[in-house]
Amino acid sequence: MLRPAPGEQQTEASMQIVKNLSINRKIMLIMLTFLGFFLILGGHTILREREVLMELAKERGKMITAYLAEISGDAIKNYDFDLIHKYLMDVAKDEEIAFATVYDAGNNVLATTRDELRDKGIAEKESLIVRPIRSETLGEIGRIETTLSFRKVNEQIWRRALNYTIFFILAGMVVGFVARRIALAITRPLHLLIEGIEKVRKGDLDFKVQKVSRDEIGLVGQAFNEMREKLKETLGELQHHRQHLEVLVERRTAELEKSNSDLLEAQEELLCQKDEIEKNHHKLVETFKQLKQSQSTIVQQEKMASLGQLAAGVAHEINNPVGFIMSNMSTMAKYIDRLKEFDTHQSGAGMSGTTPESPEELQSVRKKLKVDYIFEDLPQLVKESLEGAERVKEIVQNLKAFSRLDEAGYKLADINECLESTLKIVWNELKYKCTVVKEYGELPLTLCSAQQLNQVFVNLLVNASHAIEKHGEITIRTWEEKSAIHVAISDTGCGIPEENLNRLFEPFFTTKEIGKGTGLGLSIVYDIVTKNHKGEITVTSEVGRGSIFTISLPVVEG
Amino acid sequence: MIEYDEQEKRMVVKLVYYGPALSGKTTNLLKLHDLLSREDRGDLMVLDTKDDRTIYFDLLPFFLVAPSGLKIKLKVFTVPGQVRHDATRKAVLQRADGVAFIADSQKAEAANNAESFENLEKNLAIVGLDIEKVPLVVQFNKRDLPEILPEEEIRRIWGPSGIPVQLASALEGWGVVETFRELVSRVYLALDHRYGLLANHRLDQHSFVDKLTTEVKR
Repeated sequence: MLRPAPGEQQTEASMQIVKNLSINRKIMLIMLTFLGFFLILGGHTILREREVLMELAKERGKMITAYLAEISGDAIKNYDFDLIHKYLMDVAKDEEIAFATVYDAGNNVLATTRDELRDKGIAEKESLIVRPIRSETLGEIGRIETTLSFRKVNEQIWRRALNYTIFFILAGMVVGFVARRIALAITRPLHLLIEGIEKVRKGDLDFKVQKVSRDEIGLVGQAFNEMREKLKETLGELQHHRQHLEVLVERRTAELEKSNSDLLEAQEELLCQKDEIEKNHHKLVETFKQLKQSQSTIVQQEKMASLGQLAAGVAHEINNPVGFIMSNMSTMAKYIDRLKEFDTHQSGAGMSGTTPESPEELQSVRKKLKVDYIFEDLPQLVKESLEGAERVKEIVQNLKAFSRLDEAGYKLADINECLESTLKIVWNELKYKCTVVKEYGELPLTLCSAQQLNQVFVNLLVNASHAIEKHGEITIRTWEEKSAIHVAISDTGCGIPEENLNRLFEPFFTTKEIGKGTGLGLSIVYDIVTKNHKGEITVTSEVGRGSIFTISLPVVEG
Repeated sequence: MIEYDEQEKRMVVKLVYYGPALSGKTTNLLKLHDLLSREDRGDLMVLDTKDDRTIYFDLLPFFLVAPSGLKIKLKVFTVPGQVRHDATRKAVLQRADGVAFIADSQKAEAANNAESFENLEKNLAIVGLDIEKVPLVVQFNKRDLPEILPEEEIRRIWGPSGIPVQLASALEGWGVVETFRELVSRVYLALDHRYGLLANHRLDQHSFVDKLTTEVKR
């Protein structure tokens, strides 16, 4: 179960297996792990030691070879190859050298112990040591090759390994025994404890766990006993509390039932109130409707009021020419009578008989009746009357143009023309109080309701004249900018206080005396400009200096 | 025999410390190594073995240049003392130019000394050297130990042979340099006789010996 798992899942799985082991097994596992660790450590140490020993043997082999080379020189010079063989054999008795061979400069074997000592030890490739044999005066005169024997090293290592294995087996036995003892020491009291706990769990609250040991488990047992005592006590108390609680619950239930019925009553009441509120709401909606109706009525009245104002002006204007037309007409009636009389005289049908009168008589009658004067005056009278009638006609035409009764709805119109006709209508209102300066710019035609816009201009112009106390100036400026038509109407009147500026376009807001204004004029203006023509209206004003109303209308091409 | 190359102006001289097993040959070389100046010698080659025995040999080289420019190299060897390494002993002894025989002064070792000396005589003959001609000195070592042969007796035995005898304690360090000095002065005579060191290379015995035995100043 400790085999290395390549995948993480497998590692987790093996961790789970370890967790599920009993304490006994866990302790065994720990001990085994330690033993395994020491086994690996021991193996490693022995291998390392072998390396070191082999290295030492090689070093020593090199030194020995150097010595052999040193004395071989003299033997070669003496041609005493038998001696070489002898001391090679002598040296080869030593355990460190497997065999050695001496060559001369021509690579001929002078002496070797190879054949005699072949079986002496393991000859390994890297254990071959070659060294030249030199003479100080003759240079290189030969070569010696020694092959090392590692038998001694290997024997040493095997002995070491054997010792270690014996030690390891003994240690394993001791460790196993100790692990078993430790596991038992832990698990025995645990089992006793578990037995006690099991009894208590089954309801035997009077069972007392005996003192199992003096360590932590013993403490757990003691604590368990105390806990069991406490539990017993607590259970008793609990029983008592439960009874008390039952009483309390009963009482509380009764109370709750009562409040519940109270609540139900309250709910019913609330429902009644809700009905009433709904009724009120209906009433309010109706009132609102009525109010809306009243508002439209008032708007109509305002229209009528401005119409009245207009009518008054128009009446005045018409009255004048009509007056002198009528006076001329009565004069002309007199003249006609006179002319009739003269005609009678002329045709002899006068008072004196049927004969025509003499030219002298006729001449005197003519003088008496001022016939010549009449003939002189008549064309004058007709001319004057015609002029008067012309004026009346003109007024009526303007009125028509103003009201545009014949062309309701949206049509292409020239705003400058609208302003001009409006001015004619309200001229009567303005002419005594102010001079009007016109600064008309070139404007494109735009699709609009001329009737409504005329109403707007009337309102603004009349307001401007009302603002002027004695005598002032009204300037009308028009221009086109950013595909919009702008109309600015400024006056040199009293101005509007700042606190009123914001409320100016509110319906029913007025500063005039009660009965003089409805307070709807500017709100209607506002509606016409912003709602009906998607335009804007702004005011700037300074008390004592005057006000400027600016209207901007987007150009709508027909 | 000596290696000598007149053209290259090189000369190699071989000296051998001979003697029975455990008589102190290696200790002699170690002391020479310690006591003599570093300038004129190389490093000591010693192959350590268990139980303090030399299986192969030890080697201490010395260097010396004559006023003529002749480069002389002295190789001082020891031999393995044990009987069974006779072949190695023979190999070392070949072409020796001088021999120091190290004897053990302990009475109990007298027989071994004699046997070893006989062995020396025999081996010299085998490798073709004449014991009468090879420069030879004898050292009685281990004078610091009890139960040793008294000096008079040594003188009495060795006196007639004409071979110079030195007393020494290699372990304590005395007598070692003296033995070496005695040996090289004798070797000089042999070399001078054959190669004319004084005549050809202006190297006299005194400076030869002194150069080889300059002690480290303490």
